[in-house]
Amino acid sequence: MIRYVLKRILWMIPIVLGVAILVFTLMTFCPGNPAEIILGSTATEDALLAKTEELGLNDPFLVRLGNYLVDVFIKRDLGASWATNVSIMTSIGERLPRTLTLTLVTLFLAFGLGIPLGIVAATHQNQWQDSLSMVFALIGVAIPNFWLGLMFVLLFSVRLGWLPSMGISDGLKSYILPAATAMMGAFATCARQTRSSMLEVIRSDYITTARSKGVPERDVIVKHALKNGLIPIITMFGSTFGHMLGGMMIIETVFAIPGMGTYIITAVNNRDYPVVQGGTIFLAITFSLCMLIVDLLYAAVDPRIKAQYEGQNKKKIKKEAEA
Amino acid sequence: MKKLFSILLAAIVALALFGTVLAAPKDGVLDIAYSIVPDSLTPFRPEVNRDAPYFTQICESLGVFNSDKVLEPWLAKSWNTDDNGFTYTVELREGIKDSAGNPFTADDAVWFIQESVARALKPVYNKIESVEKTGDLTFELKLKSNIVGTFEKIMTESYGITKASFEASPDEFGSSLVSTSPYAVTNFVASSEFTMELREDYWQALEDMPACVRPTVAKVHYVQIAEASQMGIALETGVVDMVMRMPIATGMQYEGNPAYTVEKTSGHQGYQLFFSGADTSPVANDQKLRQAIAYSINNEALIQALAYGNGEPLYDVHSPVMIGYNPKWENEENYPYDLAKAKQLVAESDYKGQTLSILCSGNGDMPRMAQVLQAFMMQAGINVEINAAEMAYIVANRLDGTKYDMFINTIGGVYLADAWAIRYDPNAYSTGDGTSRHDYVLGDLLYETWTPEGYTEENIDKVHNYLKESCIAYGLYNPYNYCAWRTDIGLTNEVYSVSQHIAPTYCTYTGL
Amino acid sequence: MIAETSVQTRKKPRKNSEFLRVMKQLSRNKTAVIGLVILLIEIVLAILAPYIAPYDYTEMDFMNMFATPSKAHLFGCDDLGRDIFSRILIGARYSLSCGILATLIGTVIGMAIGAIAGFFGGKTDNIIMRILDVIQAIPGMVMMIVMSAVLGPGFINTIIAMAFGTIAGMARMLRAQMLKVRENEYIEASVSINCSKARIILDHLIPNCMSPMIVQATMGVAQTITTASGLSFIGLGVQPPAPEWGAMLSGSRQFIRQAPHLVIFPGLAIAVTVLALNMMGDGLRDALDPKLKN
Repeated sequence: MIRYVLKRILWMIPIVLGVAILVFTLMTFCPGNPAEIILGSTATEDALLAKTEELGLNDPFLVRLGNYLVDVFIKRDLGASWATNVSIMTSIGERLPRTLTLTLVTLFLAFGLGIPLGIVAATHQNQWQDSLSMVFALIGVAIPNFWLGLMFVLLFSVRLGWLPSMGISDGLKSYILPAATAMMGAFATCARQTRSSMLEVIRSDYITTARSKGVPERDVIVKHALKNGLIPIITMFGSTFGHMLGGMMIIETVFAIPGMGTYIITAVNNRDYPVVQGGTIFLAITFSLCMLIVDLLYAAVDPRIKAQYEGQNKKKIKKEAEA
Repeated sequence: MKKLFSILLAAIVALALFGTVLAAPKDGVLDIAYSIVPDSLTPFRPEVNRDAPYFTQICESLGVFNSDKVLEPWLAKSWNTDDNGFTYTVELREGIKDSAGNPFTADDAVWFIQESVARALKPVYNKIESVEKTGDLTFELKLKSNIVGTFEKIMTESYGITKASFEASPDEFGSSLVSTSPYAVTNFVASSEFTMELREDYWQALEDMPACVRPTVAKVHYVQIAEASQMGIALETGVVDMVMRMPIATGMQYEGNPAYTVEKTSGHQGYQLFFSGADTSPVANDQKLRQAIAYSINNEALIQALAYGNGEPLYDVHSPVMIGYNPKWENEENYPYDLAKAKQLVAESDYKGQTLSILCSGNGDMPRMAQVLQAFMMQAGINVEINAAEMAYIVANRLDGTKYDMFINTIGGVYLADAWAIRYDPNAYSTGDGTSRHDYVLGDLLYETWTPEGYTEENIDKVHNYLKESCIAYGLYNPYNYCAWRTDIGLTNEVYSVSQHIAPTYCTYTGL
Repeated sequence: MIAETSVQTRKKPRKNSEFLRVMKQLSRNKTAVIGLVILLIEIVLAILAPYIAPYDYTEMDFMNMFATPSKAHLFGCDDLGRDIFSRILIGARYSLSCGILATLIGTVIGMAIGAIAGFFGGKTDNIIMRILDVIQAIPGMVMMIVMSAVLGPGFINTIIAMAFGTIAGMARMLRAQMLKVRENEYIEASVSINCSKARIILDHLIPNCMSPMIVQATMGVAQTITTASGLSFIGLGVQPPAPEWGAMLSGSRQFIRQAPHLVIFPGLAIAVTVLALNMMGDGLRDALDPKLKN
């Protein structure tokens, strides 16, 4: 088991290296000279040339890439923002926790509401509860995020005055509205996934057996069906987490939360290459760690998978887990 | 299940109907929303966002413009020039100290100016020949030219930062700041919010400060709100006490509502349409086509469509707030909307149905403005496409007239000469002027105005008339600035900034 | 593209019967039929839009700015006095083609990559999978924004940026399917009679992996339409005055309180389309599921 974890962590190195190279390359293709953007629209010719030189933008691409990779992977330094000179690690240290909190609250809401709704739908298959839940879930996917966000604000902040409309100054309370907005997509997917995997499990033989033995319906659902039906939900949890971490920029903008999303997007607009690169690398690492944790959770829930991890053909398992 | 649903639904409906808006807490803090909070506290910054309401609190400068556009001494005690504005001797006040206790002397002032020259973030520093310390509290500033406004700009952009404190900072004041200002920045979150508190150990008595920057509020909190609707919501829910320069559509909602005080002032920049000066563009050398476009624009409708009537037509290319503007221009015709004339001019021009491009920023009102202009020009038979680009693209291409035929921009400056220098000086950039044009006739007219004695009504008139006649740029309209605050904060004794809108931290409040 | 046409010409009878079976299954699924009908109506409306739109979508009427829905203007007028109904009709062309084209391009490229990885296995597979690992480790939205920044704004560029975002997922999915199918005996048989690799991939492997891909692509179109509105929010995406729904939505969000209909109608258009696509995708999933075959 430990060997498996170590191996997976080692695997992250080439992936993160790949991410670094890819993002670095993409950024160099962005139109616009970063020096010009840093200096502003009225900079003089000489100043521009000097700044371009200072940022190393005159070096050949491979030299710049090489220098960057050495800085990141050998000196373990993401550098400082070109725009503000502030260390990127410091900024990420401030911003990541906010995005992380937002993501966790979002997932908590999405799964906390999605799983029960999915179970209700599955246990009442083809009844009105089922249709209602699924329509509700589908509407969740269909409504554009920022529209819903503003609607929530109008109701819960302006009308009711329950929750802060923006910012992060009220602690966890500040995150409720943004999370409720951001969760809709994941909530719907979760409800639907729970429903279909529960249906699959409910139809299987051992549930029928359990029922025929006279186990109360409630126990059948909670003890037997749920446990096995949850496995695909865990995978979903992991990948949703990863996606959300980098996909919060709109929510962060609407609710004025200074998180990773707005950090990266401002940097793209400013052509602040080190920040885009550093931020993305950081998100990629977080994402990979998430996937690892998911796989481990997987093993914890399903003894068969645990046995496979510990067994010989690890490589194949890994592929399957990924697929 | 059914029951639960209905109870929940009923509860939500009931609360939605009977809920009330929370009042703002009276905590002695002035909370202000603005569209941008800086991403760093560095005193060396480019021109972008230069007229934000907070910079005079973050740092003190050598001089400051009051609302009458007169330069008042601040950290400087006095200055004089013997050679008609080429060389200035500046004397600093005594006993200036920053919040770390380091004295601010001529060394620091000279260092700051030299550093600004080296960093070249503001073009005005490019006009400095040399700066030298002549005593503990005096230095001599030599300028390459005596263009009107240069010295004033250097004085207002040179801050009270000591070299010792700056060098002690690990990130060049990227995340924290030590300045001579009576306000200390506490809790700075880049691009999001920051708080400033009056410090006890300010180097002089507040009464000795210039009235236009004399703090009255013990604690100010600026918060960045990018979303227009969220700005209004923040005001209503008491998150902020005041919103500075809110989008017009949002600001209008509070007009006539006694709970809010709305202040409308003339914009200090206005919107301009610049025509490409690059020979590749059909408009570059076709005066008739440019004039046709100007005639095709219905300014009143433009103001109606984009500012809901809350704006004024421009009679010069630039804003009437700038020094040098002459109110007599308002009696002249400035291409009034005349479709027939526009069509006639198109017919007389060399225009052959090419599609002209309008470059504009993809943010804010610009894309909407471009669409309205497109519609106007189409009516005159001119084909137009819009290129609403992100800021990086604009910065990279704005001086290259081959990349657009028209460019919507908003140009600032205290003097008309400031705006002219960055737009129409054919020697300003390697590509020519701001649109790749090489108009040396205009250049000579400009240079005439660039001396203290040359900045006369007559010379300014010449430039104004030349710009209007050649129509290489056209003033679209000037939107009003909207500031709104909760009436219950009891704002009295209004103090205004040089941009003519309220300067919140220097006013008095009875209900904070 | 090549794959599909060759499949259709050579294997017409089998494909047809399979197609009929799926359609039959699909027609039994009420929600799927509703989704399909909504979508078809939208496509027809999009095609006919220039003929049925009551106004020119760029025509401004400053007397009618923010006009609320009325007989003359079914959905009211927007901030520049343009008829929202006409704009939504024309916008359907942009939004639907944007969603469909981006997904189609992404799916075809993704499938090609996935097919190569899945069929050849070994080193090729390993290299491709590691590259996909890298791409997928970058959050999708970040990738999309960086791509849009590289390509610049505009309709075609937006499609390319969004297509790029779907490639990795599709490739991975097809590969996983192919690994499953490859174990089947008829593939072994084809290999043993020396069928060319290309032919095995195109004739046998891809057709047998199609079902989940189709479902995924259907959902992908919905996803793409919502993503497009996200890109518009950030200031990327199509150029004005193109009335792409996402652009309409984010362009008028500052009026959400004063004139909610400016936001509601494009929002509804997106919601209905996404809903229809999801309903159809769910139905297709059931119809294509061999476990439900009887």
